[in-house]
Amino acid sequence: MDYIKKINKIIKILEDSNEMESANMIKMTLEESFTYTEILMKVTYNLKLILKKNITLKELIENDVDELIKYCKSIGLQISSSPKSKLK
Amino acid sequence: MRKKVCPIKKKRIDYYSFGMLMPNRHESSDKYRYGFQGQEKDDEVKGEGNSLNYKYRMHDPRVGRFFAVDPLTKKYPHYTPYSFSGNKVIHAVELEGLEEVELNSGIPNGRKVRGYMVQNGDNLTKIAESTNTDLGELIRVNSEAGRIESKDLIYPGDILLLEDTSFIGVDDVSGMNYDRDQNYGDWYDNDPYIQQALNDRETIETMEFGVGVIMMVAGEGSLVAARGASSRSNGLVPVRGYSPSSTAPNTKSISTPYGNANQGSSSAAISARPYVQSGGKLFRIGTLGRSQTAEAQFWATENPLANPKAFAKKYGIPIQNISNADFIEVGVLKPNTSFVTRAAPPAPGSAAGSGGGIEVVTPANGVKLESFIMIK
Repeated sequence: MDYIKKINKIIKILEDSNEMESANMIKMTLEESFTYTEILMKVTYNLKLILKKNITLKELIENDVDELIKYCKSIGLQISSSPKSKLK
Repeated sequence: MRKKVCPIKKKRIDYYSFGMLMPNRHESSDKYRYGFQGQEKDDEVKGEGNSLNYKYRMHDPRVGRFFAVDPLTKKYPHYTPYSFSGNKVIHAVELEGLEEVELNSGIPNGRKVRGYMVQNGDNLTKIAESTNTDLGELIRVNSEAGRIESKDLIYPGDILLLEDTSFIGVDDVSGMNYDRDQNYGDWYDNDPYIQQALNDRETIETMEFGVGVIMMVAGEGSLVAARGASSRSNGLVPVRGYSPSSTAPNTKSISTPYGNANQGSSSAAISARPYVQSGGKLFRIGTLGRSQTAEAQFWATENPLANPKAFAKKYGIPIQNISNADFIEVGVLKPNTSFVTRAAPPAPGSAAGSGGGIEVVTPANGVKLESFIMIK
């Protein structure tokens, strides 16, 4: 999976839906990450939290987020669903 | 047609040594949040530029002191727990309110290098003892190949170049020949081992292929790898017999605040474990105030600045993440710390040869920082 493309697609959807705060958070997470594991884990985790908090976004990005979660699983990354620490 | 460029001045600020603003010599937009040493200002507390957020502590540049006790005060009994940058404000910067980091430590231009000619019966431990070198320093990443290559062995007669400073930047001197090189000229002239090699006709011929600094552990308990001015055509026995001293547990997964990262199952990921376990260098770059630093859990085994484009491709990250970075940190795994190694998967649609970069996931603060350098 081209996860960068997928993440950029999600950011675009969030921006188009005027969810600028969420879009910026994902964009920043993508920009401050240093390895693919860091990108995938942080972005997917944050997207899961966004979905949890904002049900209206479910229809828009749930499928893409699910694909990311499945991809993470397939390469040995289990994304947590409950926050252990504050978002970074 | 030449494109017209209209630069926009965002700020002009002069500081005193500890970061206090010079009166009438600063102007900046209110929207710009960052000040001295790139730290976020907290102007609401004590006025413009008088309170800087160094992550772990707030700094008051007017008095040149933090107003909280250093979390690392036990490590620095010789400092007052409130000191800023160890009072070294010219050649060091403050790292997150914890300790000072000396600038230019480990920069190639300032490095000292010495040579060691491998003797019959040597192994890494013995070489480390003979040269008074930290064993971890002997284990290097080939910045060109970026990975362990077992085809290169050390042979007696090889000359190993040992650096006194931390490794950072391009380190591959394999293309160097016996003509004096402007970057290496000084020690080249003064090093007795290199001079000895230069006096030996046979060695000079082989030195044309390169004098190497590159050493790695190629497998647990097996061999070390290097390129060298070697006499390998003499059929001498390769150096063997090194066993990593670290006893880092064989971990299957590492927990992070975002979930668990499992050990990679590819041969590249598994064969990188001895390198990490034996004190191989780990690299990370980022943006101050945004990216994690010492507490970071995601590290690479290659220097991202050696070839940013290739690194971005291998590690599956946007190239901008490297070009926008303003610091690089280098460290080694702390003893007995668990970790996992993972190889980046190739991304469909990208050019052939993408992926494959080896990254290391450790617990938070699992890496002992050796250098932290501002690159912008």
